[in-house]
Amino acid sequence: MIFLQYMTTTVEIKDIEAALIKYRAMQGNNAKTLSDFVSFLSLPTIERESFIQSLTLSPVVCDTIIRARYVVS
Amino acid sequence: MLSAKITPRNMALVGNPIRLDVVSSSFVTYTIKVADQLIYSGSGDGSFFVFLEDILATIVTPTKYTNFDNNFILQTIGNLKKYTIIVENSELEKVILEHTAVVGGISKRAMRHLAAEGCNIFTFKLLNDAGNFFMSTRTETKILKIRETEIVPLVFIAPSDSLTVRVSDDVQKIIPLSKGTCCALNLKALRYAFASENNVFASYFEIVVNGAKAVTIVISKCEVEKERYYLEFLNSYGAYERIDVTGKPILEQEKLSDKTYQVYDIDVNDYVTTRDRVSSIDHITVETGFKGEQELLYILDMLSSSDINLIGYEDRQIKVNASAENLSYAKNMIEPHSLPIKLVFADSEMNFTQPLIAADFGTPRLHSPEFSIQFN
Repeated sequence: MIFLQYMTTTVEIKDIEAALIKYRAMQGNNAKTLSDFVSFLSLPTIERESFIQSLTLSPVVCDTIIRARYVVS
Repeated sequence: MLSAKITPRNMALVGNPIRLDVVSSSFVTYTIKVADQLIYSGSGDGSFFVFLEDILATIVTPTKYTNFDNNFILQTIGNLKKYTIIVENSELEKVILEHTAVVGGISKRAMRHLAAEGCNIFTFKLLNDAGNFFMSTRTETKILKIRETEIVPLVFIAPSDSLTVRVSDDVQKIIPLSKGTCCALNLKALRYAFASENNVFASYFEIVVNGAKAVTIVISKCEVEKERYYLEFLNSYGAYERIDVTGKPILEQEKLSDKTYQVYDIDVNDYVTTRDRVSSIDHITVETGFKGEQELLYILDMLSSSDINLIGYEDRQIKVNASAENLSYAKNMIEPHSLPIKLVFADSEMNFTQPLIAADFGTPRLHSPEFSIQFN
């Protein structure tokens, strides 16, 4: 019997421009740049988890890797 | 009669044996040069061999990246050096050998395994465009998993004139390389470029070389932690990598010398006990966070490293020496374990200074981040 070990990526976003608009709409973020947003998405924080909750998960499976892709709903 | 050869041929890691074999009918002198600069000269009578790795270790230096720019490929400075050995005998015969020294080394077990297979680490991995050619000790498999908090430039020797980083079938970037040079793939810059130019924030990168997928880089998720520190260390391949450690570090101080002596005090006409300032060394205990079996070997590589820096504990990096007091339960692990790691600060101290913050020593300004530069 062969056991496949799956691994999951961290967050991916398909349409980052749409996500950036949503991010900027959050309080205090209206002047944030794409660079700020990429930095925000790159590290685990409670704020990122909260933001991700507002998106829709649309996972993509590549062999044994599950890509945690999110789209703006 | 004169012949000479270097083993391994063409290219070698300075952490492993590099052997010069000379066969001559008379007295021989040999000189090692890097770009016409004499590094070492030696001699021998007739046929002999000599190991060169300790000499060659002085011409290579690992590259530490502090400020990453926006280039996808970062150059290394001293990871790889070409050198020449000129062998001459007293009959005025001469052999000139061109060779390349590369910082790093592999385990004796791996060397024996590769020798039995009839190959070396360059043909098997480092110059193999069909496999994981990155100089990372995280894994040797075709899937290179990196935690999102541990991303650093991935050092490699260019196996081809270009590579393609593919995020999906229709999103990719072709990156030109100079074949045979040592460089590093800047994942942070790539991620930003895919976001700004292709409208995608990616955590999955397929590295395609000469039309075939060589390795897949997977950036994995980390849990939110209240306290997180990073250990940046020089791995066995001579590249700097990072491990994040979590949990509340426990700081302990070990007194190194506490010798007292007697000094005569004229006021009381007796001797009083006194001492010089006490030297002490700090050590902290941290947790690695839950790691799987493959990551354990990566931690073992960190524990053996000659250069480990603790990042995030204070404003600046602190050089430490790491050790694990108990690895016994981690062998044959069937579930992830978190290992306690003891980090001993490299510097002993007898004087103590509060952290020096540049902002406290400049002209007073409005410090609050709410104010823009127009206020200053």
